[in-house]
Amino acid sequence: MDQTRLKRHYLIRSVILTGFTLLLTYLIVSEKLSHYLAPRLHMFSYVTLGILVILTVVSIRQAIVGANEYDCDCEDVHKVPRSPWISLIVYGLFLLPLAMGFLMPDKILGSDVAEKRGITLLSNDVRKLAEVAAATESAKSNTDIADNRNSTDPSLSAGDTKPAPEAGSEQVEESNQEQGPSDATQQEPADIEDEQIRKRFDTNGFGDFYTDLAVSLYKQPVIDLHEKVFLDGLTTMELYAKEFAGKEMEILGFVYRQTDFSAEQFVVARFSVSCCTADASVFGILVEKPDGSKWAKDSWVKVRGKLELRKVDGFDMLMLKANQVEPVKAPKDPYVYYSYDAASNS
Amino acid sequence: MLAKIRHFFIEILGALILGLAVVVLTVNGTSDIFAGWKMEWSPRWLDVKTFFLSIVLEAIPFVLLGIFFSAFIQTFISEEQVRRWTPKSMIIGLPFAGLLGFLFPVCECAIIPVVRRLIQKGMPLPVGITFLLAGPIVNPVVLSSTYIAFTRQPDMALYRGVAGFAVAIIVGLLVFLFVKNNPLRLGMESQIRHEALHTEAVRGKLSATFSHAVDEFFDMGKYLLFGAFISALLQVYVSRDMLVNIGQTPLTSNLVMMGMAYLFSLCSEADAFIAASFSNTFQSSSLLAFLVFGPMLDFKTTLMLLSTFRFGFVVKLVVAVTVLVLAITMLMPV
Repeated sequence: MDQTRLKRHYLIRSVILTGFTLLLTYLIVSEKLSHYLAPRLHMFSYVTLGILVILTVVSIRQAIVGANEYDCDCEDVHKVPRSPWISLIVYGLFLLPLAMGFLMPDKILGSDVAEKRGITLLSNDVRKLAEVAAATESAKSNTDIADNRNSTDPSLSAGDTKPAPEAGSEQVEESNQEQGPSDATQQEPADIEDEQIRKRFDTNGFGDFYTDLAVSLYKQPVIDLHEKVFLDGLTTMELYAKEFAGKEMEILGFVYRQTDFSAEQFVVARFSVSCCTADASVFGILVEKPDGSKWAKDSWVKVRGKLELRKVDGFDMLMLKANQVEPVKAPKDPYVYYSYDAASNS
Repeated sequence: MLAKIRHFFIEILGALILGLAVVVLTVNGTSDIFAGWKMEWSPRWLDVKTFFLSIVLEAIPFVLLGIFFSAFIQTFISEEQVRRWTPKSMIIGLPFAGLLGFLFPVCECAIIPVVRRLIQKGMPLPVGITFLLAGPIVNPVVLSSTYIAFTRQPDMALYRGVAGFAVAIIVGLLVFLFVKNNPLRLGMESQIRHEALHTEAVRGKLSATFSHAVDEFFDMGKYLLFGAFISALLQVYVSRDMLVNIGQTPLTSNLVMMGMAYLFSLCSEADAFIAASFSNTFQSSSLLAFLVFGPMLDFKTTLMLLSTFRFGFVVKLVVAVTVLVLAITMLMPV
């Protein structure tokens, strides 16, 4: 293998490495990296970008100077593909992600993938979904029971009825701005109320983390399941399904349907990502609205409604009876993540 | 024989790429092809792109880590040091190798060049093989990522460590008892000598380390990219329900998960998250089989092993590991 051929290989490699460097830079600058990696891996990508820049420079230098620094007679083991055909295939393999990265538009994962993976609903997996959809009849009586229970509990009816929490909720909002949500529970006037709510959630013994979260969710007049608490919030409500029945909730996600759903049913779902999208899994809650078929699959919606309890196979499961659905734009970071620090405390 | 197999793989690879080009051009409407690349991409292919880039972006940092780590051993650790540190007796040597991952936390993409280098520098073969198999599992990075992924099942990390350690030691013992001749590939000696020559010639020269890194980036990158691409295709086109239907009994479900681990070629630092996403559909013992088998053997590492060891030896290794992982994960009380 002569020097010019070797140089040509180094030239191709330089082009490929430059491509990878540019692609990574583009993804980082345009903040599209979160379409591919969870935030906790972004640090590695920044380091990788640095190394890629160095490798590109080294490779370009090789392409210009040639491989003179090796004083040995050993082209074979320098891992340069032997025949032109093999070169074409090997370098084509490297050009594939570059071509895809630059030429194909970004798409966030949606219903097609969700269907392939199966969706995790509150407390039940996908195979139960059909039964949930069918369990509409028994639901009515269940929610009635839940409502009754709420009203017989004096400490809760105070926190539950619409007019009373006005003052309290403002307090919470103020403290949110000052000290962040976790400190909100320490506010004085809310303290007694907190204690009583806490008692309700304490008995099941699921650990402090979920109890704390349950209390802070329960205190909101309308539970806002925003992206920071999406997964942990859903888990919490799964653990305390009975307690949360009858609460109002607001949730944002994409519309997902299965063939066995009735016309008024759909799921509001989010993908959770641990490392990269290859490990993405889908979480969501079943929503019912009489004109539910209006919203196209994969469109993003904000749904507000009342949580209802369904009994499926002896399990309690929550679904959302929607009274308001509005279309929204897909959020900049479409995926949700577990908060590991919080989870490890539990 | 070996050259034929390599040719075969490479031909498949080329066919796949050509096939992709054909599919992209025909499925998405050839009439739009001149419209300034603004053709309608089928959503399926956009999903393939998302998965493919995602796996590649995730794995590249770790592959680079392995490359530089192997360069580090090459440059700074002498043969004498390796010989002195490795216990002479197999009774101590094999467990030592099984736990070596705690000192050198490398994932399975990185460990083959590292082990090759260590064997070349005088590490006994059974010890090297045990390290090769256990290293990507029994190390702090992988075990902690397993612990994080299985937050609701914290025992999983422990089971994974124990099973990986056991399989690696038994295989190491088998190699010690039955493999007498040198399993390194023909020509490997000359390559190793060649590399040693480089170190002597260029030791301490940073630029040489980096140019070798470029070589290795392309050498390893092709296996990585191929594995990632196949994995992305599987993720988009194969429904999990289908796999669940195959894997009904404990034996078949363990085998299905091991097959998946082999085909997906995931990095051992991230595969726990994928295993966790299967926890609704498969029982824990199958997930354990996935977690133990994947780092030891998968599509891309088999290709890499073939570039280092003789064909017959790789086949024996694959058989031994498969049978042992299956047996041990079936017996473990997960």
